Amino acid sequence: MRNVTEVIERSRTPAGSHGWVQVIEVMGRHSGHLALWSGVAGQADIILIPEHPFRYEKIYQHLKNHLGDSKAHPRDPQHPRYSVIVVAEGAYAEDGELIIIDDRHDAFGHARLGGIAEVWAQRIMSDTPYDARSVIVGHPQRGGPPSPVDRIMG
Amino acid sequence: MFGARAADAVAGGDFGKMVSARGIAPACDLSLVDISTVLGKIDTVDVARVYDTDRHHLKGIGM
Repeated sequence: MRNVTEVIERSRTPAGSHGWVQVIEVMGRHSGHLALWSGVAGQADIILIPEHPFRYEKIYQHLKNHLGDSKAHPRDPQHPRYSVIVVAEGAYAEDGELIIIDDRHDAFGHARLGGIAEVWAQRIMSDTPYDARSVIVGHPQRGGPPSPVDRIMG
Repeated sequence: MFGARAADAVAGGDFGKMVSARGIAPACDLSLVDISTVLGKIDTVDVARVYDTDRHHLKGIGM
C-alpha cells in the first residue's frame, strides 16, 4: 500500500501540470482493499473497486462536477485542473466484463487482469472534454524494503 | 513475531496451518488457523460499511 500511495502522490504533480485526469490501476484481483485504502491515503478523487460495478456516465458526471469546464476556463479558481482516479484491476462496468491483458492464464489458472486504466483514459478522452493518462503500477507494488511493521512482524 | 510463530509451528510439526494476526500490528494477537478455512476465500471490501457507492470513495470523505 505504501508503494501504491507513493505512485499516486508522484502522479499528482504531472497531472496537475498538464491538466490531466490521471487514472491509476492497482492490483488486488477481485478485491478492492488495495485500491480503496491506497486511494484514500493518496487522496484520490474517485476509487473504483470490483465490489461495486461502476457506470461510465456517472463517473463522467463526477468529473464534470469536480473539474468544471476546465477546457474553456483553465485558470478557473473554482475548480481544480486535474483529477485522480484509482481503479482496481478487477473493477468492471455494470454492463461490462472484466478487462484482461490477453487470453493467457497465470500459474494458478487465473485470467490475467489488467488494462482497465488505459480503457478508462481512452474513454475519458473520447467521451468528455478532459485529457487523461493512465498508469499501471504493476509488480513494483509488491517490491521494495519492508516497513518497520513488516520487520517487527517478520 | 509472525515469522517466529510460523517457525514454532513447523518445529512442533504443526503443518497445514496459517499464522493469523488479529488487531493492529504489531500489538496483535497471533494464533494458528487451519489453512482449509481460508483457501478459496477472498477478503473483499465491505461495501455497505465503508464504501460510498454514490461518490465512489470511502464513506465520509472524497469529492
